[in-house]
Amino acid sequence: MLEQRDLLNHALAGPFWQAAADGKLVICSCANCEVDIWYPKERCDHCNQETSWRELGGRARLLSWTVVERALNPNFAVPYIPALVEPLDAPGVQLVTWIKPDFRDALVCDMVVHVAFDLIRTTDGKEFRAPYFEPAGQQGE
Amino acid sequence: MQKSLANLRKKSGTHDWGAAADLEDISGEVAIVGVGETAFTGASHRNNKAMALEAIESALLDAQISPDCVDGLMVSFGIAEQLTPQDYRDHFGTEQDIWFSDQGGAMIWAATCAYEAAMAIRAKQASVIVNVFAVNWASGRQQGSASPGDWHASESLKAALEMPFGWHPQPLYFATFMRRHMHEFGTTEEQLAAIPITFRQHANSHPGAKLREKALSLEGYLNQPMIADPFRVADCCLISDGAGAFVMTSTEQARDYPKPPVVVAGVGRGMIEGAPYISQQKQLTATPQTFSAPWAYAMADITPKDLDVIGVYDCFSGTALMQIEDMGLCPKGAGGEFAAKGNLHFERTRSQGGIPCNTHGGLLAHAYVLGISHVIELVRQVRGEATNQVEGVEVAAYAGFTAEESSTLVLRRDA
Repeated sequence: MLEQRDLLNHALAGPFWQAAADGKLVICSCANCEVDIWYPKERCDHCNQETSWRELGGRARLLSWTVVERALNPNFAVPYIPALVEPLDAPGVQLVTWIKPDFRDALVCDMVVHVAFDLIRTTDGKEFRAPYFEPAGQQGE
Repeated sequence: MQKSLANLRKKSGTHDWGAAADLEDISGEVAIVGVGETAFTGASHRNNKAMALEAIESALLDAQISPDCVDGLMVSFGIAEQLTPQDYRDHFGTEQDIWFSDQGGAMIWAATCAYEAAMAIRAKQASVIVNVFAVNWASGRQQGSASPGDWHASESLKAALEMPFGWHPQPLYFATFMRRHMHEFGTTEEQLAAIPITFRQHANSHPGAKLREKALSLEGYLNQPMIADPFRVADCCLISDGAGAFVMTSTEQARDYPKPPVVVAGVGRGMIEGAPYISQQKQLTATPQTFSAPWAYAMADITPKDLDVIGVYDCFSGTALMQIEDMGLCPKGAGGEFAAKGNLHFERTRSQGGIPCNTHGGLLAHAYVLGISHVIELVRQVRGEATNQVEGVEVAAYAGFTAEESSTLVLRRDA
């Protein structure tokens, strides 16, 4: 399990975590070809230009999730909910993310969810600011 | 007549979320002439190499082949302590040259090793090839030294974009996919239960199956707590120590050995776009078996209707269910209903609308040796010497899996 500084300095995924620390959701894309590149790459496969990062609006479709009830992953206290979402403004991109356990009974595949940011805390005391998603209309906007 | 790659491509079709590998037509060129296994156990502190040698001894005995006649060895890369040619020679006291490949073993390679073997035999690099796989993850788990999740945890982008959200290890991936299947197709928990329950029934009458003595009822299944919903303990593979091996030669040479040759009729291999990241798989309710099975069927000149028995990589119940659909054995999405009708039981033959599946109990109930025992069981089925013998087996297929890749091996009785 990586430390926060390893995430922030990660050669390819660093900008994702730096943006998350500032409360922004970003993905890698090629400005030249106007395509999103996920998972991130240094260069675009089509035009070989250096990739850049673009900020997303934060609304996404909930593709699926699982409520983890047993400590298969010793880094996380159970129950916790990893999920897959597809941003509405980045079709075809699938983000691995998480949902707070309070929402476990409110989840339905394909529902619209909103990004929010909070600390993820692991069982061995690491913490890092990460995007998570929750059902739309739950944020008291 | 040999089919061209263009012909195989045309017959197997195209998809927008992955593709089949261009495997040349090797139909009928090689056959399996001997199979062998060790005992399958929990943590035993047995060494992988020692288990591999024991499985090979058993396979050579089955084939009535002397150890000095083996001139090819295939093992799995990426799994610790696999056998080397020198280990083989040291153990058997022989001195021959041995063609060696690490593109063998289990998972998808328990199928594709037959293709590699056919190529090696064509090139006259070898004539009698042993494929062997040994794993001691039950011991590894007890010692905290090795586990099935190791590779996934070590991959850089998984570590940076998946692990921080706890999407690890593998049960979580496939639980996520299975939930989506339930959403799209209305698959129920009770239908999913039919997979572990049927495989358990097979294990209950199969000597050597780890869960032979443990029955599983629907009530018992539903009473199990969730691990990662919708998966319970019974939906997840065992963790085992053990080894299996099989011997391949040209089909012509195979006819010289005492056991009836089990001929390799077709091989397929498929990969998703975005590999190795299955979080990026664009079709969450399917597997790359979608690409590999049609290729293997085209090579073997069969349709799914011709299969009499199958062995499906069942790391999780849901993975087996999706692969059965992707093999074309029932309509896409209908796998739950199909399984719940009892169609995977060994006594439900094709003429009765079934397709006997994992007649040894599979990874869920026999042992987690990553598919090598699936192939061994199918060889026994084709020979007519299986414990849970299916009536009148002519054609069998193994569905191998690694997550981002699937493979298909079609076996048939010698004409």
